[in-house]
Amino acid sequence: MESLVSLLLSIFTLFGFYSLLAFGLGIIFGQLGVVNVAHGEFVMVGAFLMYAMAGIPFWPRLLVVVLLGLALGVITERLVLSRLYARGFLATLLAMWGVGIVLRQGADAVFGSTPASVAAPISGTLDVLGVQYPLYRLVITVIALAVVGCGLLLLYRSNLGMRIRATVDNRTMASLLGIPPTLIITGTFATGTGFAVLAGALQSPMLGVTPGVGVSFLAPAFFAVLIGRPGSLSGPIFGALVVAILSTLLRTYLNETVAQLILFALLIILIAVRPNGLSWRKPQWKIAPAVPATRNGAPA
Amino acid sequence: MRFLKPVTNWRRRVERRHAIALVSAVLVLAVVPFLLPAYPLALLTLALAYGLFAFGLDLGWGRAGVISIGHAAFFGIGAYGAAIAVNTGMPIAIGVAAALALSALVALGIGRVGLGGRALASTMAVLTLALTLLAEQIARSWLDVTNGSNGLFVPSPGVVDNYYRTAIVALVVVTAVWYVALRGPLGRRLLAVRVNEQRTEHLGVDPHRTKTKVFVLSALVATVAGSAAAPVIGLVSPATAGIVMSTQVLVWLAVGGRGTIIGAFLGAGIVTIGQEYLGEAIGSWYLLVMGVAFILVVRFAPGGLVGLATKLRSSPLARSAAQDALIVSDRTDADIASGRSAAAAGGSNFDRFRQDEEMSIRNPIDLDPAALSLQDVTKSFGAVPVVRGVTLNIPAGQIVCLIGPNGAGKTTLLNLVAGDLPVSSGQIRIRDREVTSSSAHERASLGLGRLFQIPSIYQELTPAQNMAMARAEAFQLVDLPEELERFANNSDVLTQDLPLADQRALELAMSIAWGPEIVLLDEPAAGLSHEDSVRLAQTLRIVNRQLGCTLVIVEHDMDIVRQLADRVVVLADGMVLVDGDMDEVSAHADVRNAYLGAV
Amino acid sequence: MNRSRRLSTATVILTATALVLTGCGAASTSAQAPSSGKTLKIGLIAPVTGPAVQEGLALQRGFELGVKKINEAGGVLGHPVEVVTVDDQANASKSTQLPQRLVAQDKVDYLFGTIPGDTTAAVGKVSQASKVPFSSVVLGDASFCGPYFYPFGEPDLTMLDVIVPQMMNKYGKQVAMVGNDYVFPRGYMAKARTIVEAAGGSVSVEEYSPLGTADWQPVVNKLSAAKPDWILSAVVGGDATSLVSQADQAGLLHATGFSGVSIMQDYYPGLTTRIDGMQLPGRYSDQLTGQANSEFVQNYRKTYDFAAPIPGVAANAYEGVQMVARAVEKAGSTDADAVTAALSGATIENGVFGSGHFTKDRRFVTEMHLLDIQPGGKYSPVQSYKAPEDAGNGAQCAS
Repeated sequence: MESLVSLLLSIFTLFGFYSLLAFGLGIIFGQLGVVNVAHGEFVMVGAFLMYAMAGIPFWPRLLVVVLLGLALGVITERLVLSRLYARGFLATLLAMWGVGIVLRQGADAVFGSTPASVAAPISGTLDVLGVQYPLYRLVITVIALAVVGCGLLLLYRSNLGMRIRATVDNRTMASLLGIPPTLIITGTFATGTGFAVLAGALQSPMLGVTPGVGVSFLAPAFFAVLIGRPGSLSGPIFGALVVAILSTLLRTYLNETVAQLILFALLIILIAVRPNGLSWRKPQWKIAPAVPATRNGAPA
Repeated sequence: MRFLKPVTNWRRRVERRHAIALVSAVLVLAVVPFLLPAYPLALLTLALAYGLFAFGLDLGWGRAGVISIGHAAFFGIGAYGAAIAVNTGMPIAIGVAAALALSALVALGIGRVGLGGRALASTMAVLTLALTLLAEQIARSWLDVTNGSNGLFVPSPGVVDNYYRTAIVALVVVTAVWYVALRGPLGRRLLAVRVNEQRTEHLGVDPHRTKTKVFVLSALVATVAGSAAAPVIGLVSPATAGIVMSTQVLVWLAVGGRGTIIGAFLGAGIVTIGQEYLGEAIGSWYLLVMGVAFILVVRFAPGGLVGLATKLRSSPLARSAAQDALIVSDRTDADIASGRSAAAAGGSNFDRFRQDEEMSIRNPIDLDPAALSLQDVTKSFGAVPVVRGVTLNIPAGQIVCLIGPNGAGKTTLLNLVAGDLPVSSGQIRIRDREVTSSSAHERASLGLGRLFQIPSIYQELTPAQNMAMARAEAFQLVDLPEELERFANNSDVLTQDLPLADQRALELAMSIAWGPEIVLLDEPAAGLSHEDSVRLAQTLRIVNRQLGCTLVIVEHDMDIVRQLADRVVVLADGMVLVDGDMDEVSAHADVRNAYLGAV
Repeated sequence: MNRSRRLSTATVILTATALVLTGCGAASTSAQAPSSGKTLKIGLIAPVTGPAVQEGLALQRGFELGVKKINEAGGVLGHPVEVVTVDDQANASKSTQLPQRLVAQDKVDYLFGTIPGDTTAAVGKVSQASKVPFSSVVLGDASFCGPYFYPFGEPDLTMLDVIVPQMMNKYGKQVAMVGNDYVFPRGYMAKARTIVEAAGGSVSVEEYSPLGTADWQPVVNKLSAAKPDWILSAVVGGDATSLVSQADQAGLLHATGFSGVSIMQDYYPGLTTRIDGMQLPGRYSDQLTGQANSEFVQNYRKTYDFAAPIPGVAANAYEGVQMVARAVEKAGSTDADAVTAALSGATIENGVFGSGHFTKDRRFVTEMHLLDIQPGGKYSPVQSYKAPEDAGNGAQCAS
């Protein structure tokens, strides 16, 4: 019983973190067609910013860090990406790869490579059905899920969200309707990176913060985005749940090395069976008839 | 067009400039060890092995647009194959052969899933990413065989020996792949698939199969590169197959330039050698400098260094557009003869003829009067029915015009027939063959040609190359009406720069040059002036008369319909309203009601 | 593009590259006169970029200070020591190519450095093949041995033989083991397990996670579930901070003991107050008394503007290079066999960590200290003990 509860709690908190990562990566991928391979580096930046401004109390600091993260997103989009969209997703992927190196080495130059740490604002544990669980983890998971929830609501239920989706569907039409596409594209990218920076900032008290810390977050987020239905906005969150469950289950019941092996193998099989992604809205487990692809998900 | 003389493939594939290039490459590679001290030579050796790896990736990414962000998995398989063989005392050839077999198998599996009909572009990305992570993890965990994170030591036979071995492997592999694949039908089809997959499919080429083929080839070259690199690297560790290596090779290619042989080697060489000396000069800052430099290359030199060099001076448009693929049919008269007899013997096995690059010949059409028949075909998008039970029999040689108000389902019906959309229910037959669930390219290889509302042509090639491509993949050889021949010699412009009317004419010309028996046309006269429309109608008549093509035309312009149609089918609300000749149709009261505006 | 032109471009580029490379080669060989047996030339392999950058930097800094000290005292054989530094990025394939270059092109007399065990083994193989002596200074048993290899690092056993029984007395006999998944932690834990079992204890859980693991929850859960009396950890780098902070937040560190290489000086800046009061064994601490150490600490802090606890690998590099210099001086030449002969009997007297010598199986042993971690990162020696002469798999490597 206790082990089940702690397993569920681990899945829950990991899901919170991954859904924040995957949502950010997902809106950038789904809306802009950019595979943001520097996403892990934005997480790292979030954690380092928390470390760098240790003088400010935790929660206000979080706000400042997210604002700085948004600014970083705007700068990156304007300087690097703005003219690359038309050249397809490998061009932007490679450019973001370069941005990742620059961020990593920049952090190394500024902060050095010694692991840094951030003090948690909440210590202590909470008794959940007989399991002592770190309170801070629960708090940030709730924050993460709330933020993701708001993001989804905003995209699906608000005027702005509709504009964003309209811009992506048809840029010319959107600009004829008086929606400045540049602003919305920049805004989308900045929001995506903002989510990553927030994830890093929230996670920072649990990490040894080094310039390379973000690298390990890219693969799970990437998988989460791509096993969800591509292009959908809630897909990555579903994907994050799948990845969190798989990874926690495997790592709990198997040794770590085998767990990794099986995780990657399972992902390959999952994608082989459902190349068009999983969706929690209408899970279609029957194989769809062989339809010639009429439209590629992203320009190749 | 006729093949006047049998031309041997060898003469056609290797031009003088290629021979010069090969000889100079051999000379340069042979001389280098006499000029370089040991360590730079070792670096250059490494750069050659890495260059071969990049060349392998380029086959897929650069030439067919197949994405692999985990290509180091194959490189690693090759390196481990060689290393394990050396460490267990087996002949190295066995290790390499086993590695090649494994790579081919893995690549085939990945290709079938990631490049299949249901896959998205991102599927391939995530599959290959998972593959490289998996490969790295296996190398790290399988202690007994791979020695885990400590890796396997591969003794070097000496710097100069190593260099010559690597250079020979690189030269032989590149030359062989270039000669057999890139200058052959595969190279042409890769180009076609990359530039316009839709059109290529309607020329009867299976794009998925083509891409899977090149992905396997690309994996094999990477495997050979890994085997060659093992003694040069000296230590084969899990990172050899890992994600860092996988991104490295993307970087080399992006820096060097995609779609060229020299670009792959140049990129690998400059980055490998450059970071060595840069690292020495500025220490750990070099990574930052590399990152910035890399962003600048991606941002401002999309063609990489080779692209920059090309910009600086002009080269023939056609040649740079074709990425050195040879767009001519590889058939000779002898092939045609043997194809004909094979066709006579083997009946209607079209696929085999296509894939074997042989000639398939027209089945005697008069055996079955219906060139195309639809039996109660329906199509719904979600809950919305668009085509609601259409039954049509079109005899060979007829010109049928489909008319009807907007939203009647005309274009959808063409898409259903061409295989661009699957039917919801019903049956479609082309001649005597049931094709209801066949893909577009399978239907095309029964002689079904297709023209689109927005012309679908090879935008990045010249008109002459478009025509040559259609003829190289031809269903049957035909003599084009003079009217349509004008593009065959136009090599001065890319088709994307042609005016719309010319693009449309080109699409018609190449579709007819391809030699179809049935052609589906979607509003061929839209946007043309009246005179042009009339001329178009005349051309279509000639095509029908001279070549015996069955034409199914969606058209709004009633003048054209009147001039052309042997038979008019009126669609309304997804159903056949009237089916008859022009007079019957225009006399029909329902048509006046449903379709008054355009008459 | 015209292919023959393209190829001629290629020819030009290749030739140019060749010329540049030869130019570089020629320049570096002509600037540095060929080794005459008089000038000692050392090749330093330090991973100052990549995953082991932290240890790599400490290694490079300790080494530089050591060389500076030698040269201020008049150098070796009457000439200042020359150094060629390369960065292997803690990547074993680079650690194979670079020493080959150091030997073939730079003609170094001695190879020095490396951090991760696989890179040490890689350099060891080159050293053996080219008969150039090599010393590593990182702690832990190297997974390599040979007649030209003289490791200065603390052997695994010297870091376990005292702390393990002590922790068992203090906390209990149930031990949990956790480490990163590579060669050193596995070897370290294997030896620890032998000691634990010999002393009547048992290992309740043993876990290895890949380097770069950030989410340690499943591991922490497994550790909690096993209810060990204390935890021995060989999780390194940033991972050490992640593990310790996540275990701490889960309340695992309140009653359970914790020790191992995870809490050594290198990682203190990330671990901070969470590990105050814990104990670990070590050869070196900047809190050790003695003239040599206070001079070293002062120099190190001033030169590198460094406030954190000074890592042991820096001290090892500092003393190690001086010891090599003395051996060369004693041998009277840079001849490999003469130098290794001299090294076999070499000792350190009154160094930054007291004195030490090579055992028969060419492992370097010194007096060891039990270090008590006090607030502010003071690793205070509270007890000293003598390291065992037999450092484990001696038979395999005996010359």
